[in-house]
Amino acid sequence: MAVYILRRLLQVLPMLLLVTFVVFLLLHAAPYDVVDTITTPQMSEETQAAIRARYGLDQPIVVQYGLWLANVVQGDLGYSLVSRQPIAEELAARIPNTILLVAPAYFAALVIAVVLGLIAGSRRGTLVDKTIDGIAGIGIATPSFWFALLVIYVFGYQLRWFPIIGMHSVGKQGDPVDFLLHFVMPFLVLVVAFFPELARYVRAATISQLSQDYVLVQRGFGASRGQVLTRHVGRNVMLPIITQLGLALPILVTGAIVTESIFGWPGIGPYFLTATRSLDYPVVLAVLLLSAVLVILGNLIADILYVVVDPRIRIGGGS
Amino acid sequence: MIAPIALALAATIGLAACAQGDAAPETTGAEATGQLTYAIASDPTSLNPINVADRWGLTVTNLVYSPLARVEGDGTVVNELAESIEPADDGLSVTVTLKEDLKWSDGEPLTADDVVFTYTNKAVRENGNADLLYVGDQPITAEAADERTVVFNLPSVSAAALSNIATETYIIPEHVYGDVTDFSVSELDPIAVGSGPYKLTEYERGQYLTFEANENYYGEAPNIPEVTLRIVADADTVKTALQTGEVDASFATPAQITELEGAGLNVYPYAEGRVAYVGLNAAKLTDPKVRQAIFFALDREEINTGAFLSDEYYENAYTILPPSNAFATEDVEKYEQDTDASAALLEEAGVSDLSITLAYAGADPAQTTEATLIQQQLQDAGITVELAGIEPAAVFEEIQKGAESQYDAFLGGYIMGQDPDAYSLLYRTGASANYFSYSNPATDALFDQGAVELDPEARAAVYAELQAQIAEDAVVFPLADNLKILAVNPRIGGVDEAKLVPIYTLENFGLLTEQ
Repeated sequence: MAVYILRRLLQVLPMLLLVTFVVFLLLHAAPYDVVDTITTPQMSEETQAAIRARYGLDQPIVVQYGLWLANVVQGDLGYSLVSRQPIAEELAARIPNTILLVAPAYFAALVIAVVLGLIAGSRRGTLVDKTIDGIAGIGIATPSFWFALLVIYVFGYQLRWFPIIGMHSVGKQGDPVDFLLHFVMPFLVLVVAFFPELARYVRAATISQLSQDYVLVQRGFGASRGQVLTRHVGRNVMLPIITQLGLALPILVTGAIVTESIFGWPGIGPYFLTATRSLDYPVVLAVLLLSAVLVILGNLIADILYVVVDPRIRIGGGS
Repeated sequence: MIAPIALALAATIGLAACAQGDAAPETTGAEATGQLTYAIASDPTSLNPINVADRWGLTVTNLVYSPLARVEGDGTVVNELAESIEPADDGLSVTVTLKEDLKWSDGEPLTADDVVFTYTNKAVRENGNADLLYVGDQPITAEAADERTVVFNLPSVSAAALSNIATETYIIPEHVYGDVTDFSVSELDPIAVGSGPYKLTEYERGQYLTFEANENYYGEAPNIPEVTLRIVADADTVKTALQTGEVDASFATPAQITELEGAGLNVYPYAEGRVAYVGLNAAKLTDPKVRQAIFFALDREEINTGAFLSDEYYENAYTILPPSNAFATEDVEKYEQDTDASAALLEEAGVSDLSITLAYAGADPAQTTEATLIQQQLQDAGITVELAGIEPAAVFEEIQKGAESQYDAFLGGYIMGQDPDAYSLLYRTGASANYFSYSNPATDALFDQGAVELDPEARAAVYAELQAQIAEDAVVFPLADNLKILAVNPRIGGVDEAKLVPIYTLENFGLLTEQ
């Protein structure tokens, strides 16, 4: 198993190189660069050229990429070209805020999805199934920025139940009640954003399991639908769900970009969006690098969990 | 005062009349909290007064630091740290005397040495904001004559430099930053020692900046002891937060006005001295007759009303200077819509089936409206317009390629400040922001003349001629000075005293009051 994990991790390296290089190329294919976005008509060409030279933007792309890579290998994600702040510090400050919002929302969505998915799948074609499937369909079709604005309008403006902006009131860091008040609306929006697809996934898995021979056999032995669902089908449905869990890892960083921006939540979302608009490439690259690492790690975790949950699955070769 | 910050790319939208709504806002009658929350759209790019050039960075700088003097919207100079500013008769030096007993927020005395220290570092090109302190290729130098007197020496006569020297530069303390070797950074350490009405107490990146009154401020003590700048990117969120009282003030868009007024907020429209315009690429549209034909086909009023919703939110512009500028004239070819003239000019130029590409900021609702109206108006005149809605930075990068550019025309806007010489950056041959690829020796000569003319009347005549010349050359079709709109909770008063100004929003936040 250890060898398997190590080999998987090694395969990851060329993948990361490729991803970052492609992103680098694409950013440089844009018809302008970060200096163009921060210059003003008052800035002379000498000044612009000086800024470009200081950031290394006058070098060929390959050289720029090499410099960036050399720094990353040494653990240095570099500086934002716009704000000159160290990216690693910015990420370290923002990622926990994002996880604090996304992780609870994802788990809540997962629980709702498993329950609704099992119910719908086991009652295929009934009114209950159609209702749940319909809700999931509407959920998938609803843009989260729109739903977020609706939530703000109803609960923030009309009812005045919750504050609209940020993670806490100014000067109330660490006050749990204040945090919860700020947390409820973005949490709700994210749950609604995450659960429909998961619910459909569980429903489909349930339906496919119910059509398996072993279910017929169990039913033949007189097991009730509830018993079949909880003891057998439920367990087999959990397998793909576990895989989903691993694959959800990158969501912890990039899963709430739009929602965060609307609520002014101080996570990675507003930071990444601003950087993208101004072609602040070290920031864009750092976030994508992180995201790519998590995708790959997530896949790996999914594979390992798969084995843990179902010992019948064996990893071929090596172990 | 108008900072020479050019938000050429900024898409500001206009504003509404200031009327108090009937509906009681949710927070009226609330106890005075001693706090003001102002929503800003993003983190400041720089908090370093040496190189700050972005709107929010300047807003913060203006709260925490003070300049020697400011230039008001009407061109008058208001002294801040300076007690007097005396230009020499030969126009080659300026002597500034500081007020007595000035102190930094940490209690140390503010002296002429601090001023010299600030100007010396700002004049270093690598620090990123030196251009205003240069005349030609030579920097303006500063020396301290005594504790309270600074003499600025100009390398050669410059009318613009005289007005630029004392303003726009926020003085920083030498005793705090004397050991700093690199002033090109975006934050000085510590960031909080200044001489402005407030001092910075906390900065949570991506969330807020908090300020409290500076007890050593030389001016009137701030009425509201605590100010918070809250960072909120989404305009809809800001609007709702204004309605619920979660923030006390923020910019608003014309489309939000009715709703905000309905919720009882006060709305203040004010001019930033911005010129929104249609630019033509003279390197591609080389025949002035063709350019004039395009301008005669446009209906300025219809475009402005479409983009800025109501004539309460903009003022028509006819020249390269905003209508509020002391040097602006209306004695130029205004290109009032005249389809016959347009057709005649095209025929004279021997052009038929003219087709041009118009670039604009695709994410900006005002420019999108302008672009579609222009397309329709030119269509009626037999000119085909292909629209290209892209990122603003890309528009200007591409258009500067001149004849190689994909675009024949583009939409933009600039804020260049009070002194007309600043506009040479846009219209002089080969200037750094000459997006129009415009070149006319007559225009260049007029810019040269205006820059060194010290007599105000003679100077005004030069710039009137200059405006007429550029209008005739038809590279820029000025649309309007579209107003900025500040929405304020009625809990907060004193907006007129605090004074609405370009870029910083309010000249002095300390003069706001709680009602």
